[in-house]
Amino acid sequence: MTRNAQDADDLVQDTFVRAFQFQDQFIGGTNARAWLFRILTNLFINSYRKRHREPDRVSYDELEDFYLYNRLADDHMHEGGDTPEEAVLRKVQVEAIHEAISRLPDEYRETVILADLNDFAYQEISEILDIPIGTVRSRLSRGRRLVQRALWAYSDLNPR
Amino acid sequence: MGEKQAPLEFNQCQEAVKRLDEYLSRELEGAEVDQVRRHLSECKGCFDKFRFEETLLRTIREKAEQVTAPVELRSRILSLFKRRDDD
Repeated sequence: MTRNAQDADDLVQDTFVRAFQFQDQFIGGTNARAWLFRILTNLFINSYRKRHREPDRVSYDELEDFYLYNRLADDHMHEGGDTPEEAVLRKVQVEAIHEAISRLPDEYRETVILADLNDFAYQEISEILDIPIGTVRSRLSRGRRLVQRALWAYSDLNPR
Repeated sequence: MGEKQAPLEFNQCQEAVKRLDEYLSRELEGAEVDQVRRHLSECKGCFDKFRFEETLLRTIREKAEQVTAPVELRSRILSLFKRRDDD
């Protein structure tokens, strides 16, 4: 959730310390992962607020459905070569994915990480981030499309 | 509800695409999943696009996991556990 490796280290360490301190508050049988993530998220939100960062400006104009598919399909049709799926399987690098996700504005990055990298359910994400489920849905939709736009811009998928 | 879907193909594609993200996240309820799957079995355009989105998500998930925690972080966390045990 943080963009900085050192911050991330500190955050994880603080999370485990808190978890140990408050382990008697953890209700057995409930979702331990979600509980830990709640602590992690609250710590992150606290440190974020302290630093008063300016939110990134995001243009919502080009957030079409199937953003990446459409561009890859264009290339495939006009220049032959990989199908969109082959292109993704062969050319999306680990670094491009990390770049794409780290460039997301915070609220989209959190949701994409929880949903797509950690497989939390919408209900769980709603609890972890303390936002309505409808907001989880819209942030995830936008977040995924922003990731696609970034992958097009920063990975080897774009032949130009 | 029991409404029949409009016979226009275009409407059915729109209805399926509206549910794309929830379908990918497995958040759709039973009847809606069936509706989407039925449409995908009938519409090659949507089938290809949905399958692409699934492949993309799977690729992102698998490749993003190709990073293990730095050794220093892991040993710091482990020594944290050890210190608590010794208290």
